[in-house]
Amino acid sequence: MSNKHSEILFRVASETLETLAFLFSMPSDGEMLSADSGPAASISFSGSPTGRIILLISENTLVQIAANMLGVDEDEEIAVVKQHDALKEFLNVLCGNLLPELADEKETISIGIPEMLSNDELDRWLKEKSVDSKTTLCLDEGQADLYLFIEGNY
Amino acid sequence: MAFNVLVVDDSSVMRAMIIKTLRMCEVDIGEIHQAGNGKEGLGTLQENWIDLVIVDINMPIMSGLEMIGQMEADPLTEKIKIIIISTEGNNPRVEGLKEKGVRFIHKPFTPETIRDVIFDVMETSNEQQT
Ligand SMILES: [Mg+2]
Repeated sequence: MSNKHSEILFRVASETLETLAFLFSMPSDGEMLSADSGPAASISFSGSPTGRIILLISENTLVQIAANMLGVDEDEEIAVVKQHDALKEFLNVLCGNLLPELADEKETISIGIPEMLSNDELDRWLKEKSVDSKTTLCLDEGQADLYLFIEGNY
Repeated sequence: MAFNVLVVDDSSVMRAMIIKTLRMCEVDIGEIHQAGNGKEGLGTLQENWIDLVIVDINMPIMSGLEMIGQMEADPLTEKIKIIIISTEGNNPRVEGLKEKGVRFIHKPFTPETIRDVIFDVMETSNEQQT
């Protein structure tokens, strides 16, 4: 596992969250969420490197992110599709900002379309693939876990 | 002169964020239209008078770059002002478009950035008209 990548992952994710949703996060040494503890989304990228980022998040934290992105009150009900949309867009922006830090600036890496992951799919990824790096963002009402998978040796 | 704007992004939450920022800008915005991908965006352009297109790159069905390519090839849409809002600033195609006057806003953005670019685009457009 790459510690250097974990640090970059945390920094880019927390900066993205701060600008996108005005939320501050702290690193955590605690446990990662279990696969069934909240919604998860995934985005792939291809080029040099090729891989995938998976984001698993506590429900309360996602509501907070969606409410802030939309500029509505947290008590206001936000449809699940909107919450998932917010999660996927957060991941999309995070991925676009992370890749230039992992690769050569001049390298063009194409980014896939973010999608929601079912519990089973998430479980399979976490059990069957070897993760390059991971990090946790701790927020007021929960946490967001990020996993970076990279194909081959990078 | 009020500006009619088309916002093209596959994320409805991102579209809402952009539109909210547009409404906060103290500029004369007319109609605001939305589309979820480049193809829908081109359809909206056929049916409405649009002065400014704000477009994402990474979208399913038709990407923003493909949409811009088709706009450039059509005499009816080639002169419409374009602002790209995307994470992908280091794409060589984007570099080429910037040289042609297309503006670029990096995601994540602050409302101030959008406001400044909008002001700028509208000002140049008004100068060109007078
Ligand atoms: Mg997009």
